[in-house]
Amino acid sequence: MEIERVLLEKILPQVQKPARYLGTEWNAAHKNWDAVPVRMAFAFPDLYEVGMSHLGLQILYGLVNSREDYLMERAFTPAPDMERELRKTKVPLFSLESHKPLQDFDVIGFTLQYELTFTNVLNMLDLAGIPYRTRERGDDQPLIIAGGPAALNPEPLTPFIDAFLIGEGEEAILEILDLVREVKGSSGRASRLQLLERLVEIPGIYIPSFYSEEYPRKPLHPRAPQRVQRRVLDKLDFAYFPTSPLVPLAEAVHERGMVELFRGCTRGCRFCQAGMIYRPVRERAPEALLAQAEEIIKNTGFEELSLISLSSLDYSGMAELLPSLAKGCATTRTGLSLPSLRVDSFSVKTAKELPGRRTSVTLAPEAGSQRLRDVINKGVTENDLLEAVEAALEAGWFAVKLYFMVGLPTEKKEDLEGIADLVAKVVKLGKRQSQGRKRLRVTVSASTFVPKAHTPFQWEGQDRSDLLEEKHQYLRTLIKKSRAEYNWHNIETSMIEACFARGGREMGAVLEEAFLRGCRLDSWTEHFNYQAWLESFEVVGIDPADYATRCFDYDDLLPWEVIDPGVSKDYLISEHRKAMDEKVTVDCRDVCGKCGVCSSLGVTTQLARGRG
Amino acid sequence: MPGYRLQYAKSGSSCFLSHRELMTTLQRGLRRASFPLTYSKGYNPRPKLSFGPPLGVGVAGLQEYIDLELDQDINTEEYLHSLNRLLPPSIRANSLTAVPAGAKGLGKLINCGHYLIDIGEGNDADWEQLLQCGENEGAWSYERPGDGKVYNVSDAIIKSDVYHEGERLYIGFLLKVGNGEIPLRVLLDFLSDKGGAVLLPSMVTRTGLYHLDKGCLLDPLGKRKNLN
Repeated sequence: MEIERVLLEKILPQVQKPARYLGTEWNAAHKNWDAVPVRMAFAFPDLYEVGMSHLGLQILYGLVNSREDYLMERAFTPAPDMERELRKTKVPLFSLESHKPLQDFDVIGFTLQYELTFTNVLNMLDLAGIPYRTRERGDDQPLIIAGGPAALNPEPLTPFIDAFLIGEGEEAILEILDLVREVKGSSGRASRLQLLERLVEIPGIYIPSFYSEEYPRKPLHPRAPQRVQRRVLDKLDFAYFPTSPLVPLAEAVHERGMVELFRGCTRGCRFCQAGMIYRPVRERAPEALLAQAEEIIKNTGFEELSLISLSSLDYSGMAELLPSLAKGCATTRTGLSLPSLRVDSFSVKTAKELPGRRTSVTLAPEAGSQRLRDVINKGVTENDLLEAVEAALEAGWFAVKLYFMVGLPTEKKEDLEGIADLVAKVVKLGKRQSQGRKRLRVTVSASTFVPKAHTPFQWEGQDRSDLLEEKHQYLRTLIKKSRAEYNWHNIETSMIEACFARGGREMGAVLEEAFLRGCRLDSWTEHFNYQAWLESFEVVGIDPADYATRCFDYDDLLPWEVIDPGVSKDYLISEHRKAMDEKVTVDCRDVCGKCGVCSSLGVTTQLARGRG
Repeated sequence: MPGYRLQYAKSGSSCFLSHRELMTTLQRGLRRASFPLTYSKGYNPRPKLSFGPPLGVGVAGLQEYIDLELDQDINTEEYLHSLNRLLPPSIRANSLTAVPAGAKGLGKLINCGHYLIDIGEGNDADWEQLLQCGENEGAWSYERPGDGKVYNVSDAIIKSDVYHEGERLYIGFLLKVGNGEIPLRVLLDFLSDKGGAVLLPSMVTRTGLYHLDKGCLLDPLGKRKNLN
């Protein structure tokens, strides 16, 4: 009650967007704290508006709270003004629902979606009054766990996290909470050491303190596995899915209901970590999706429904799903969106049928030349792109966003010129087709390639930042001529991201230094402090330019090899070699690419219609 | 299309919603309660809702209004009940009434609002004398620090009163809304400055919105209220 009073009377009147900290969202779970034996806080290391758009939070929140004996509450990274107020009033970081200090929970679980949120993890622990270094935490402190895609290379965070959950959390989270309940018994708090002793038995759990400090990390604990295998749900249709998700109070990045068409992606783009670590493709049945969609709209009042997946138009049941879904959405006046469109006219024509707003079509050819698109295994041609744009124009869109990546392996000047050529062709097409109408607006977004663990490009270094700068400038000059808008992603943040994405334990020391120097919310341009990061690298004795650009040999020991994502190293090597030979690999919906996931993890590709 | 006027209250934690956040929350509540809302035409159809004058972040409101356009007539009692089940507890729908076609909209109707500031206990300033003094001087002006904009505070105040409830002190203001309105924050900063107390929006409740005409207050549902 004390926190609640100080919050309402003293803190909230002083901060921007206080709705971020109220915890009274529609569908929020307000349980009787004292009557629930096991309590977990879901800690999202970014601002409310980012965290509330995240499907994983909604799934785990709904799942845990659907169990009478468990409770899950949320905490997000406070904005800088809120952090100042919390430190000033000495109020510890609290959960949103019951405004309890995070310290009072049995388990605090962080989701690691992006490397540039890592300082927020340390900050949230610090604000909660919990020592952020594992070694300094007492046996009676909450268990600190972390999961999510960035946990697939957990090494930089090993000094701070007690246990990582590798892979999909739906089953494992309940196994963890069952265990906490058992170990806790009737005592007020489960012993952290006892818990770790038991957690090691749960598949997918990586406990860094049970492994040697030096590489390769060898298990020191008799029951710790040699390599920690990623957890995968076998059948998505039997898995929990929230149909009463939280409805944000403060405006979130995405304000919409979500149904998940499938997990995994069969396209096999070689730069894409998600494409490797969510395999195999598992589709949900159209009838299940329809029922979920109807419930979600009824239970939330959202104005828009989004069909989520890594490549939504690949969903094999689309022909069956879309007409019924569109009809239902029209009745309830709900917009329908497909966030991940393929670069082809079929996708655009399908999108045309969707009810709701028509703002811009986003297409991601990623590279400018056919050669480089073959290197990265992005199976689209120039023709695909132009036809897609033509279809978009015919369907009434007047804005196209094109996504490219700069700094891809083997990239040459011609590839950058290829981007400019492609953009010029799109602009020209827009001009030709727009006679008498509003001219097509073309926006080009160029991000910087960041090599990621467990991908065929994990052995490749990032380009040096001065070279990247030069490439972006060159591309900008070329694109300016065709009068398209050009946006590029900050090179400095991409370099820090690259350092963590393939970083070893030594990056933990850099992270701590950066946190102590005040680095927070690094993914927000207005808060990113590059100078403080450079100083942190220097103190630890790492040259970030060398670290981000280092290439590995196939037989080098990689820091993340203690994690087994299911995709075999042989497959990654063969994909890397094929990339260097500019050879493509076909979609594994058509031909099995022998990546090893299905056999090693005991799962299969499941399609709603057709093969599976 | 039939028009309806919804009167609602926001209190407790919902006071901290911005006007925009409140609009979204109410709109979603109306959608959950299956109100047959009328939507605008075009690529980006929106429900035809017309909100009364916005309340600042932190300020409570006891009698706030939205006008709704619906596709069909509804049973107001049933829909009101359903809406209250589907709104957060700190937002309550008080009443729902049909509005005759051609009736004035909220924007044209409302020209003043009554605000109550909870000063609390232990503030020694003589507010009665202070307010009296302001009325006599006739021209309280306030220069906002930062942008230097000057507001004529006394022009925006139609009437002011001091109330006691035991040791607790309240100041009531009937303030202009729309034409001649000043930001509430300006009034609070001004009073904080004069009275030596820190007055925050979270201490303020808007108790009602009215049309003031010839010394008579009329609320948007047609109820009369005595100015004194």
